Amino acid sequence: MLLRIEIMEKGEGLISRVFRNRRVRIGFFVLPATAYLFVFLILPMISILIFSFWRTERYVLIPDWNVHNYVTIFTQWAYIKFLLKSITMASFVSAICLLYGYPVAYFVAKEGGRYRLILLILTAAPFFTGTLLRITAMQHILGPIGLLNMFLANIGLAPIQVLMYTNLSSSIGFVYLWIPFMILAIYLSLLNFDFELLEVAKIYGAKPFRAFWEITWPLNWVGTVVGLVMVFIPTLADNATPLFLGGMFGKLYGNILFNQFGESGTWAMGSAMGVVLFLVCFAVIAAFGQTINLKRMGYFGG
Amino acid sequence: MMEKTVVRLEQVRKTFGRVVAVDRIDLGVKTGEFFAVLGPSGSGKTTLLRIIAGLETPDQGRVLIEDEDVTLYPPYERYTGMVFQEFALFPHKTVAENIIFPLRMQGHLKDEQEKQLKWVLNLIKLPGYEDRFPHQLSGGEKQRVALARGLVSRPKVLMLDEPLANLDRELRKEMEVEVRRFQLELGIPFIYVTHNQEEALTMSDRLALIKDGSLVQVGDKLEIYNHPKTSFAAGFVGSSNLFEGEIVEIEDDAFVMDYKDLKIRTPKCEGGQKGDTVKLFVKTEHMELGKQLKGIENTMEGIVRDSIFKGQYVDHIIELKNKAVITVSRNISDRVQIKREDMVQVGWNIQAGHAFTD
Repeated sequence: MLLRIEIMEKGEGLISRVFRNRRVRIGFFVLPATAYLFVFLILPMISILIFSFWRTERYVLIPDWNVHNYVTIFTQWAYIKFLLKSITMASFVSAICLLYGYPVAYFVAKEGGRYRLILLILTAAPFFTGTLLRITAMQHILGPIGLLNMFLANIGLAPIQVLMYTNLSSSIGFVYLWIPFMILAIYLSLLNFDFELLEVAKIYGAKPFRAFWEITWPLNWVGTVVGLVMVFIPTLADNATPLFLGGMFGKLYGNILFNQFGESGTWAMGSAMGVVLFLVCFAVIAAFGQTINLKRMGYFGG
Repeated sequence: MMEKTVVRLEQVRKTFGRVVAVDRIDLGVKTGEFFAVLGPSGSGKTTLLRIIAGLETPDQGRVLIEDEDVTLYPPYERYTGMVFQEFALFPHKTVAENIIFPLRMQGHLKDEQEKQLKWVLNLIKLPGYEDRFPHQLSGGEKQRVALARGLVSRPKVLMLDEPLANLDRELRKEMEVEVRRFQLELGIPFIYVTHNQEEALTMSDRLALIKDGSLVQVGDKLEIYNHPKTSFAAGFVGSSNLFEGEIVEIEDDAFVMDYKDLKIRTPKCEGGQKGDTVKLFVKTEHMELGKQLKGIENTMEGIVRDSIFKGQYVDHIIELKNKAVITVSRNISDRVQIKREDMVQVGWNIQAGHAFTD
């Protein structure tokens, strides 16, 4: 007996012996993720946070610590205005994506049958090309010389002004860009949803919409929140869509922020704006998180 | 009380693609009746319930609830209740919220909801469970809550779709009694769907036997148990021995069947001709067993291969001379002492059997 154990230990390689240590094992799996987060998330955040308390002079960052950038952001109406405008835009786009995406996801999950996967991939088909290309494509549909207005001109009608370089055309672009996220998030949630519960609700007197509101909506709220966040956050931070589709008066917070790192070269100000943007995103996620009560979502535990 | 028909099905038929799930069924369920629908899985029992509840629309026929044609009514206008095998409680709602759901949907006032909740929680013996969530309940508790949800609004009919199938044996026995008690106390007609004949026989007043979407036999449970009309009914209800063979002789009041070289007398059945194959069912408890049987019409010899203790009775497994194996149930207090490998005689009177040529 004793002899055999010795042989086993001798036969064991260095690597497996090292791996018997629990700390080593945990480190092996946790370290890469930690390193990734540190290099690509924490480090840039820290640098932006630091820069935001510096100032820029003639395109050069000068490390004298001050809060001037933040004072500017919160006292000058222009910055607040663009922030509010972006928040409004993101809320509007999220709402439209929700209204439009929920029925699509519901249909695919409930009625899709064996075509579910294909239908889902089709909703994400625009993702097969780059974001910029997609926005340009949108420009070619909605713009003054786009398909829509060319068609209207051909049949002798006036172009639709409200779709040419306006906030509305930006929002259409945003919805087009991000709605696959919404559909996917809700779809994945509905996959685990027991549709039989709706039949139960109906037997006990709930009309279809009431059954949805009492059963489907709360039980899929987590997935819905994921979808909302995945639309809200990128819309809030985006600059390309308003640039291509929004026109002169369609600029959003993202464009102003981008300018700080581009034309005006005021990196410190840009960093401060970035920090504010991050805080807004964080607040939104936290607010949504408040609405989630796992017990109430039908999850086990607690 | 006048016996009124609460639920009536007239020539109801439903197909899914090429599969006929329910085939021209006529059925009436009366006030205060415990009605069981018994059939093997896939026989169309559940579809039948779903048609009554309004979850499926029949291709043909009518559904009447309290003399009103509800065939095209949606489920939420039928005022029925349903209890499912998988309980189907709303996982995000507490016990109290689950139970008062039908009352809320029907627009009852808060006070009324509270009152009914209290009453029904006492009925199912779970007072104090109001704030628990379904995942905090045991299987039996879940099914009690589901029953409470079904009963709280006093539906016109309560349908139960294999409600005890997910519970373990002990609990099932206990719940059988409980479910029966609820039904008697409230007088609401129950339609109880099951593939478990024991359950159906224990609880119901009347029984419908269903196979491949068609009704085989409907009637009083004892009637079906003692006088099955088809070989399916005879084989499915109760536990029987099946003897199958050719009719070799027709006597005045019996057929003589050749069962693997054993001659067995069976009651006559319509249309039986010499040379036809006949199926004979004899309930295991209608068989006699002894060292030397006297005055019994069919007797044969065999060897006791095993005796299985079942509580109040014992199942003796007997191998006949022609190597066929049959079961004979005897009361535990039976005076005949039988050991394994004993040579015995097995027998029964002609009229104890049920013969069919279908």
